[in-house]
Amino acid sequence: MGWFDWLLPDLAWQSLTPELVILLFAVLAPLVALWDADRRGMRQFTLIGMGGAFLLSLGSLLEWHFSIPGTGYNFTLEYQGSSLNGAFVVTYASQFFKVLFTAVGFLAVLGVGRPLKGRAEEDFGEFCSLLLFATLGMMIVSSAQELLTLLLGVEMTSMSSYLLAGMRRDRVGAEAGLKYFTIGAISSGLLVFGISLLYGMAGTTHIPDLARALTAHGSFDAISLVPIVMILAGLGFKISSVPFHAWAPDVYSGAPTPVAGMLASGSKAMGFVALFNVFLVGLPGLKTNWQLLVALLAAVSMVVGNLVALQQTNLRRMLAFSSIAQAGYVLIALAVGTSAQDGGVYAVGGGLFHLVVNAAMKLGAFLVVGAVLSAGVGDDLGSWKGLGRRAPILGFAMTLFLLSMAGFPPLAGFASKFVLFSGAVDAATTQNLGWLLGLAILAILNSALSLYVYLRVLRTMYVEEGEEGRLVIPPSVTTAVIVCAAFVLAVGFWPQPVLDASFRAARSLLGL
Amino acid sequence: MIPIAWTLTLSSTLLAVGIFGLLAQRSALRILVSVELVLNAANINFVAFANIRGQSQGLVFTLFVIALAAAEAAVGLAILLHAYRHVRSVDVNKMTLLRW
Amino acid sequence: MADLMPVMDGMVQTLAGSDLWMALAIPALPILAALVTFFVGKRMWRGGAALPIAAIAGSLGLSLVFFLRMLNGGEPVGWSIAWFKVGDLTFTVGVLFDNLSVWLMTLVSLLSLLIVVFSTAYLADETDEHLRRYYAVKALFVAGMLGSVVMDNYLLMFIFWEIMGLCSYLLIGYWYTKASAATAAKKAFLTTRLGDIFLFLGIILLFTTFKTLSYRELFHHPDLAAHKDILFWAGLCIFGGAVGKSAQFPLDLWLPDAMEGPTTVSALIHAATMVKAGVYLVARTFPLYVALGLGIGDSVFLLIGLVGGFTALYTATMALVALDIKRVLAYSTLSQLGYMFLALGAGGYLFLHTGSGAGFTAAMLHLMNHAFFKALLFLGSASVILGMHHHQDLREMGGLRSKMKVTYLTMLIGSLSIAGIIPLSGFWSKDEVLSTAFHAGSLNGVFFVLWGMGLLTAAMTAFYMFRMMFLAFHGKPRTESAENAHESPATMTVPLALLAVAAAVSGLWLVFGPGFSGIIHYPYSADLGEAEFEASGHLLMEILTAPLTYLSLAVALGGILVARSKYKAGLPASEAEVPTRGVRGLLYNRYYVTQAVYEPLGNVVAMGVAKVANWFDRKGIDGAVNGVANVADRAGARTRRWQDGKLTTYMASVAVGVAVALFLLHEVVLRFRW
Repeated sequence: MGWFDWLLPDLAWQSLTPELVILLFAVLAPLVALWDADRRGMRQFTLIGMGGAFLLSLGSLLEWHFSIPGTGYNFTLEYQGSSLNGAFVVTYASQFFKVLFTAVGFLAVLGVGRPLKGRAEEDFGEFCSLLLFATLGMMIVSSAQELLTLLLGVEMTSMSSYLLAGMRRDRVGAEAGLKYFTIGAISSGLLVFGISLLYGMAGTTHIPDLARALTAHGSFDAISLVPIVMILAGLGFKISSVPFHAWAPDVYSGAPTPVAGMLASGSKAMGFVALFNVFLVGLPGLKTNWQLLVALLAAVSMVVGNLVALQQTNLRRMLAFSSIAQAGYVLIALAVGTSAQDGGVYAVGGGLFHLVVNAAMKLGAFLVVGAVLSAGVGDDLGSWKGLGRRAPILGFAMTLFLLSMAGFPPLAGFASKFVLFSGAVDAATTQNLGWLLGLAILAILNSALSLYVYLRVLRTMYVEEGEEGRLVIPPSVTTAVIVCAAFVLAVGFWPQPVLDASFRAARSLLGL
Repeated sequence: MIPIAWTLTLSSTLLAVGIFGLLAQRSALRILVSVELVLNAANINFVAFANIRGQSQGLVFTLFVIALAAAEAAVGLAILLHAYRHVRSVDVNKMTLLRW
Repeated sequence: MADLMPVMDGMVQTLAGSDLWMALAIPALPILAALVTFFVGKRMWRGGAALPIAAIAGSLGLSLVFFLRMLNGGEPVGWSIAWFKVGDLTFTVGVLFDNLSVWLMTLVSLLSLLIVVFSTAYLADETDEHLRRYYAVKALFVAGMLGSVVMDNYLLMFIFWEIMGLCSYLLIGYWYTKASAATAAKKAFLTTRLGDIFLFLGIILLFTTFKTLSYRELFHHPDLAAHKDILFWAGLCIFGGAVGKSAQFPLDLWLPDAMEGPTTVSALIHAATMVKAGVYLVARTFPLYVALGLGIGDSVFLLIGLVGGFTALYTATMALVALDIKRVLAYSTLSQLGYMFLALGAGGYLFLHTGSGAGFTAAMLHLMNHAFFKALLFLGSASVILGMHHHQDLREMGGLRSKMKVTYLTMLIGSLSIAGIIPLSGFWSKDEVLSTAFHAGSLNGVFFVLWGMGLLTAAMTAFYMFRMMFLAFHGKPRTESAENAHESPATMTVPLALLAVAAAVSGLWLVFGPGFSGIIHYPYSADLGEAEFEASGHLLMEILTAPLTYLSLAVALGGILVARSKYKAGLPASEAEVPTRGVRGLLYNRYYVTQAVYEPLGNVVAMGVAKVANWFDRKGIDGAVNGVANVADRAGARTRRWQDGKLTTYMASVAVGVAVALFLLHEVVLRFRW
């Protein structure tokens, strides 16, 4: 159907439409920026791109049908398809993640107030283009069935994010960019090295083939530890799990806040998608108890994240550490995934559900911080005194985000944590795995501790007295924050649709 | 044909040198070079494994990784230059504005 | 043995139509009032008191409708719908109005209403901005309690339970400028959260095992007997949640410190809500403990009784030397809650062995009576504190009797009641609690010891209450503020008078009319419909002829007389200073538990965590850690050093991480095959 067939015979181009839209807009963005003198159109342009891709992904998830009247041309968005010899597949899971990533990208662009300091207006075209490229990378990862595609997607996101993190033209921005880049480069080095060893062991880099080859391999040898640990380290950087987390607080506090929000929600979710894909689809055949190692990472991430978050007086750093802790919670799903009776659907579904919820609340929280920053208030806790009265909508939204992060009922975070933790307890009691129960208990303990972290912020915002005077918040930012807050509230009270989609995505991801 | 153990030794040595460089060097430029070493260690692995298996997959992977390394160098140098303008040094340990 | 497979579900009628709306409005009204007050309350009467008062009054009115129906023999009603599904598991939302919840929600809304009305006068000189927040949170707090009581499953109960915890944190820290208030709020919050962790875990265990959390389905789930091990752990975890919320030993330290909040908040926390939620939870979970059966279930009940009996005595001793009027009352709350748990534990033990449900009823009766007299005493002390211009040290009072007549008289009724003097309410329930423990003693000697401890506690209660009364109201004024004390306005004295009437007569419900035990009882008791439950007159005779009754009366009178002889003349010179040494010092400092246990424990934990995380630390670990609440702070501060901003450190972290992971995987994971 057209020239695509000639170019790439097995490319199911219909299923690629969301990526193609993003690619087109990403390439055009710097050109559009040349025309658009006051950069107002730039945002709309990017929003159209992100929004279009979002609708296309959502459409394929819901299997929308179109027919163009008068031409008899029928068009179905769907989630079956595979391209490039199976390196790129379109499944329910992949479309589910694409919906998440494009939504995050859309809200992040919407949430740009004036946080790009200095001569940033000039850079806005590049900013949008890079954000689009980062989103494209995430989308590629979600469809990757081949370690090469996965690597390329991860790197596409990473390199765009390095530049985005260093977008601020001052010393802080430069530092954030350099730190992110350096740690990221090491991690991708480890990742590539790990993949090379895996290739040596299995003779393939196609993930389902990998699983077959490793299962056939049967025995294990000590050398198989190296690729596991290296891949875990390389992707552990993306999800900012301890001990690969050290960049996160510095980068989150140095980068423009919408970028920090994107890193803590979309980019982190991408890391998890890659981890789930490699470990739960590719490596379960490997007769090594890597689950325990993952459990250990989860435990350390939760504890360190929450304990240090308790110490922070800078809100962005506090959110960064809480995001490290959230990574620990979701890692539980990875640790449980292969031990559960049902093949891990409950645990992984819970993990995906938590990722979606986490994306909404983290992005929302960072956008609130960004909006407050751009209104001239600092991001240290002391300057947030009485903020609840100075910016009632943002304050209330922040309350929802923070309580939800702590898993406070009846918000979305409670529902997702309940599902996630009960998945772990279920696997622990049915399979008689003591360490898993310990992990679940530790997670509950941490989640209780974290509420205290966030309550400090609430007290400062509402109870303490500070400066007076309403803050001026750009309407687009308020809109983005309200969307996130509404999501957190709605999912808390009515989790069914998102929960169903997450479980379906988990089944599709695990190939069940 | 060169035995696989030899090439693996070479790649592991290269990896070790790269990681040593990452840990021991403070100059961002040298760190950048060390990253290239790590990536090239992986490339040697890919080529060696592809060779003994008689496949092309590993070779294709290598080509992509080389391109990746080039892109990484470009992005890295841009960020480094940006940092140098503000810090007037390429010593990474001098950049501690963001901490704790 | 009683029938362990009750027919409760069949007895529950489905709510529909206007009844349903009324039922849902009971927790919903205060929530709405809280939201509206929070956003626009500033312009309303007294900084937003109007709406919460109206809403709580509405809840009370609706509760009374159900209450009257229940008194007339109405059947339990309930309503539930599917909320969401996970796989094939369904979570439901629903309410259950059985005798227990209807009675308790009426009590809660009645007391909350009186306390909120009282606080309009007590906090009259606060700014509107503060008040708006205060009333909004208070309404939400009441909603939390009402919700925990009426919800028909553990998940929903937990949701409201958590809301209540959050509100208590905000209310205790109400005077945030006081450092002690912030610390107390933090302590209260962390300690109750510790209990909540257990509760949450217990709920998850129940859910993953039985696939339902609805009381109606869970309590006669066919698999209960097959999963006794999990049920045992889940039951213990739920009891852990109750221990945290009701501040029983060893999680008892937060409640006395929670006195830093406004006195009206203390009244609400101590009388009707919060700490009573723990007792309610155990009472609600009673069928699960019973389902554990002989051998396991009775040891759980023994544990409950032990915790209760020990807390009762242990905290009563602390009250003997307390110098702050609110602190005396706080310790006494802990002690009285201990009675309730003792009654539940002994009652459950007795039930499993003989089928008698008297202990359950005794605990609930004491809960109600305590709610009345403790609300009265706290509001009375609020009146005293207001009259004394915000001085609350007993040493600074004296001779207030003539200046605050209504306050004095009402508090005297409250004190006599808590001391257990016939025919005031405390007498009836305390007597029932002790007699339950005594009867259980014939089955297990430990309960004899607990009964003895309970009796001793009764003596101490009478003593410290009258020590407080004599020091505050009798003798000569010892300071200027006592000299110039004045009676409080009618918005305060009228609720006091109403509460005094209630505190005087509520216990009589046991022996007159249809009898308390006919309404509030464990539904599956074997003696249901038998003599004890049927003829309250018979019960009256039984109480009046039992020698035990006179023993506890004598003990209480003895306590009062000792207090009179010691404190009638005023403050003895030996108590003019804060005690630091000897037995008195030991008691005043709460047995040095904080210093002896929690701080070293904190040290060990903090050091342990810090050592692991501290590879890159430049300095050594120094300094001690102050208390449990600081453990996390310290450990976090240490761990934070990791983040020194240097890329070299970060890279080393990655490299060491990889190396350690390789090592662990090789050494540990490969050798141990799980």
